[in-house]
Amino acid sequence: MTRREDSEARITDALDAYRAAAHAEADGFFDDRTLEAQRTRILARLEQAGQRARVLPFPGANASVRSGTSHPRRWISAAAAAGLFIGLLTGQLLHVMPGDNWVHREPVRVGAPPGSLMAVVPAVVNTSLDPEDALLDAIDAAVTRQGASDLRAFDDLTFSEPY
Amino acid sequence: MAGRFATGADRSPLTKTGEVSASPASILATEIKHLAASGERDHARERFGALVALLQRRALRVAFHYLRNPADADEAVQDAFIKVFLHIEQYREELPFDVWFSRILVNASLDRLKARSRQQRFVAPAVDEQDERSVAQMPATDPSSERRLLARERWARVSREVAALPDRQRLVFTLSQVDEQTPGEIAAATGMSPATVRVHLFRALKRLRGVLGEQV
Repeated sequence: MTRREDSEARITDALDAYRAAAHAEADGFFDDRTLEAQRTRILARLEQAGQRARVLPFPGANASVRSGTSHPRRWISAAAAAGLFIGLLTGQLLHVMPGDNWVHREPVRVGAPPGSLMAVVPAVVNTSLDPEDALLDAIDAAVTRQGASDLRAFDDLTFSEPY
Repeated sequence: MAGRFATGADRSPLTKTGEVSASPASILATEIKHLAASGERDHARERFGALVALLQRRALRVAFHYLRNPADADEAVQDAFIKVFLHIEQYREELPFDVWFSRILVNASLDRLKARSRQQRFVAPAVDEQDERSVAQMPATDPSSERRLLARERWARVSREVAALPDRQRLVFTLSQVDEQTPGEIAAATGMSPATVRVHLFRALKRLRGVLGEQV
């Protein structure tokens, strides 16, 4: 027997020994009783898989709460969805086709004492603007108007850091 | 994985002409398929119990040696059998059932392996606990306690080396050595080409040569 053949024979023997040991090891974990139990579990699972799934009602819940798709509910949902859709559509249309009425208007005085901030709140704020932008516009307008000069005295008293 | 389940007579080898001699598992599977198709689900399930009994032990051996965990092996084998029954109508009668089952078992084992690796991201693994049990389970044919101990140590070393093989090499090695499948059967079960199977097997054996050499 050559050295190579001898080596191959040794490996083959080793693999045979490995196989026998591997089988014995696995069989040590899975004896006949374990196999029987596993078979029973498999067949039980198959039996369950064959049955239709049942929906168990939540204890104490009444039928009307459970159904969730009654006629009035469906109508309310449809009306809400339609309202939302119309609102969105209108908003888009106004945004796409802004008329003169929707452009920023000069603030108008509304019968308030001169110098009062209330007097310079714009009657109509550009609705297409961001609320924050609208507020800043209102402040700008208030400061530039003559009536706001009364506030300057307060401004001078206020400490401000140099930039 | 189940190239030759139960007994030597259970094999479903390809003959020289390429025809398949039906194994007991293939015959039984065909019968179950027809029962299920004709709506006799209960009868089919009953016969399926016999098929499980025929393939179970070898399936567990392979799954256990691939997954190195008895609970995982049990789950993988159960899942594989459940899948087989639920998809029995997809079984092609002209092919050996054993190969089809092997493929399903390999996939079930891979799924279990993935699930375990996901779990281990959050749970610290019990280090070497399994190896210790493996050593304790090592059969000892030699009555001498000293030699028995040595054999156990060698077995533990071999087990560790096999466990350290890359996944594909370990799968091919397990199917080849534990289940005695041919490269062609392994290729059919794993979806690799026979040449790739041979390469993985060669590499695995090369890596294990040292530790296996000690065993004899």
